[in-house]
Amino acid sequence: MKTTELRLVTILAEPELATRLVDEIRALGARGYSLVEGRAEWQRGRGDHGPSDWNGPNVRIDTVVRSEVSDAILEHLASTYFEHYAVFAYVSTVFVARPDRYR
Amino acid sequence: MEGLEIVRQNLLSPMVLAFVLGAVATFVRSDLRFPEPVYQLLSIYLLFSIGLKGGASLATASLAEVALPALAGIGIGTAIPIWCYAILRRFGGFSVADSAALAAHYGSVSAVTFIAALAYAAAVGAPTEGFLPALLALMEVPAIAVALVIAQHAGPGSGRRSEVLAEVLSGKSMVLLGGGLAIGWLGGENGFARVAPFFSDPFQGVLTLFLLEMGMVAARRIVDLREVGSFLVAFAIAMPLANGVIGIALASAIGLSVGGAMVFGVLAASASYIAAPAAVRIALPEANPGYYLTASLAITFPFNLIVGLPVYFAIAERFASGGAP
Repeated sequence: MKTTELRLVTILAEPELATRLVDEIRALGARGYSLVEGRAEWQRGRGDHGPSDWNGPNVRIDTVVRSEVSDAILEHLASTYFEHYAVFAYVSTVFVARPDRYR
Repeated sequence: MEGLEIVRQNLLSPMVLAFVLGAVATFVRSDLRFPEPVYQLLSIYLLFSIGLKGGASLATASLAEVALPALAGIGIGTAIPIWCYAILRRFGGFSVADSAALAAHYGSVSAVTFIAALAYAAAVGAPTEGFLPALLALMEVPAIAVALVIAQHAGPGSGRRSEVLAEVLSGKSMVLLGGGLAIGWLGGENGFARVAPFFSDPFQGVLTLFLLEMGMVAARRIVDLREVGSFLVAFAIAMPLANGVIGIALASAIGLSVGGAMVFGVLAASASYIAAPAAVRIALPEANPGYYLTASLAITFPFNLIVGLPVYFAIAERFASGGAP
């Protein structure tokens, strides 16, 4: 089957941010997403004083998008969340069937 | 009842023991876990049930009876964050954001501590006013609002404070508690009687199960105690005591019963760990959650549950018998 190269953006975040993140990635051009709730251990964005480690619930949001949208999402996360929140994101290359679904 | 006997009785209640068991389970690294949906279900049950019950009691109360305690509740909920903020800034050396975040937590209320207080009052045979759950709902929000306003005036900040109050008001605890109150009030005592077998009889058992989970949640935070510093540890014990005494004095002055004054004192003494953290995380992202979660969840909540309840009750009895504590 013919496939098309797109980007899978995976965001790991504190659960309080889930609704907001979903709204924002849609506004930036993601056509859909999947959200999974789970548990995690990680470091908060800040670590200059006091406790900054965290373990507890988290959410993982996956969305498959074009590379321009993936760049926009990462820039938005970096400017809005990376400093103060436990938000992580990574991008992988994926090959999808039915590419029209993601445009 | 003698003071020590009251403390002993509280320590040996199934609720406190379940809380301790939860903590022990965490310390021995047990594989005991409440699945997240079960935790959610238990908290939904407790909040909705307390709303329904309170609403049914509200239906039989007159406006005059409820108005003064409601005003007192909003008043103390508004005032507590102001002095908490001042103390944390001035003596604790905390940043504007951290002080405001902690102030929001200590001004707002903990529904579970409140529920445990009602259960405690029932166990020692002290009747409580049926409208108290309405005060719980009224006292959740003002402190968060006041603390965010303080933060807005005192520092630059980067949060989205304007959006946050709407989020708190639409949060699950407000929907369940406020909605439950409305449904209970509309249905009246007869309406509640129809759902009482589900919402009333198993209540104490569900609370006990929930406190088992809370013991695990609180114990997981205890590792952070080393990091928060001795000032905050002292604050998280002294502040609820001070707020509790002020609350009990106020409640006694406006004529609440001993049980009612004790529960009102617990509302003043308790620190939120569900509504406030969610709101503060969005509105004051620069505040360190390690401080406010550890203080309210790992120190103040267990302190109130284990030591506070009998102490507040004893103080309420003193006020009722005419003397200051």
